[in-house]
Amino acid sequence: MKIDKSLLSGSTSLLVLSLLKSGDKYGYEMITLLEAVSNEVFQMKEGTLYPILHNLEKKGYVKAYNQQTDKGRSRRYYHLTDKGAAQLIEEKSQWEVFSGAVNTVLHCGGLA
Amino acid sequence: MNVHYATNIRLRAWIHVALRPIRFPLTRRTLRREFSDHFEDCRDAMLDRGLSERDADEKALESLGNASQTAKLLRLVYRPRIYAVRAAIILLVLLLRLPWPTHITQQMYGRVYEYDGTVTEIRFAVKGWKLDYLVRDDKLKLEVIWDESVDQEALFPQPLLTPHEVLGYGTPGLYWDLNLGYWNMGFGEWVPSPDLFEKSYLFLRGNLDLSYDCQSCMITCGYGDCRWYILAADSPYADEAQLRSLFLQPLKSDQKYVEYWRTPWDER
Repeated sequence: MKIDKSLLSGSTSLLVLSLLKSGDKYGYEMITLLEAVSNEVFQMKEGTLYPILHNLEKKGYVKAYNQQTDKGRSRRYYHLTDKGAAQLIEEKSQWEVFSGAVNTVLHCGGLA
Repeated sequence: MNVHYATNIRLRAWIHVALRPIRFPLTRRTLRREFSDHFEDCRDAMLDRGLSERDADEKALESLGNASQTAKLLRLVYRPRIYAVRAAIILLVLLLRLPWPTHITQQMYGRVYEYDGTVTEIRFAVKGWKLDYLVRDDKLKLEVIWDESVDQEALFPQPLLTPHEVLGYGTPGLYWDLNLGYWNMGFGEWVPSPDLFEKSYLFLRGNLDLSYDCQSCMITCGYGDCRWYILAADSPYADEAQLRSLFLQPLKSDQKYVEYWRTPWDER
């Protein structure tokens, strides 16, 4: 099922931060993991991911570093900082309130 | 990476469009490398899945997304810094365009600028003073430049002289070369020769900055048959207190200029 992009746009940083919670990752890894975990509902493009990552890095929520791969290539990994972890908790709680409210309205919308 | 030439061109074009709003070489380099690495990762994954090279290239290119959209997102991320740098550049340019203080430490100097034959500008600076000479309509005029750090009102409770008016020197057709020997560099005094003084006239309408150490500075001025002098603290003709009182004395109602009649020639 294709998801309206506007639904995703508000929660992309939350998704990226939560992906990094389980460990440092590079861009492509994050996209594939997101796709796999969400049963291919979230198919984030590269052009969307990197601006988000750079924005998070600018805010100090993630930290980037380079690491050599087995093939000898250097990859840019992203690491969730303490500030980022705190932000993740904050955004997650906001999301829970928000999604709970949306669900409530959806289920009780037809009160009459 | 063994990418087909056409794919490489398309990748470069995509990166070029996406990075358009980024002006910082380091950021551009980082992002370019990230996009390229991502493309490569994606391509390798497709090849591992058994796709042909051509299809893998195509899929990897697709995974990049919309370049213009990426550019918009990147602009949002880096916009504040772009504006900050632009503002810094504009500020720097403005600062470079500002007239810098022209006063110098030990020497007087002068320069003549020819504009169109009728307008000549001479600028010179004396220790402790910042002065501009301007010649307009065949008359040499001197404009005194204020140092804004000086409390002008405290210095001149009653404005004797109109700010940014001119202190002029010259007779029509006579252009000053300040290096003609009218300087006494050793004491920093400027004493025009009597001949030249007789031929020419000098008038002062402008504010002078007395905040500087004017120990080695003397400027001789006159207007028509009226002459007046600004004398240095260590000159034999006046001390600093005199110099200041000269400027601080109130003007009479019909008086246009402060006049100081004692001349070096009188004393000689």
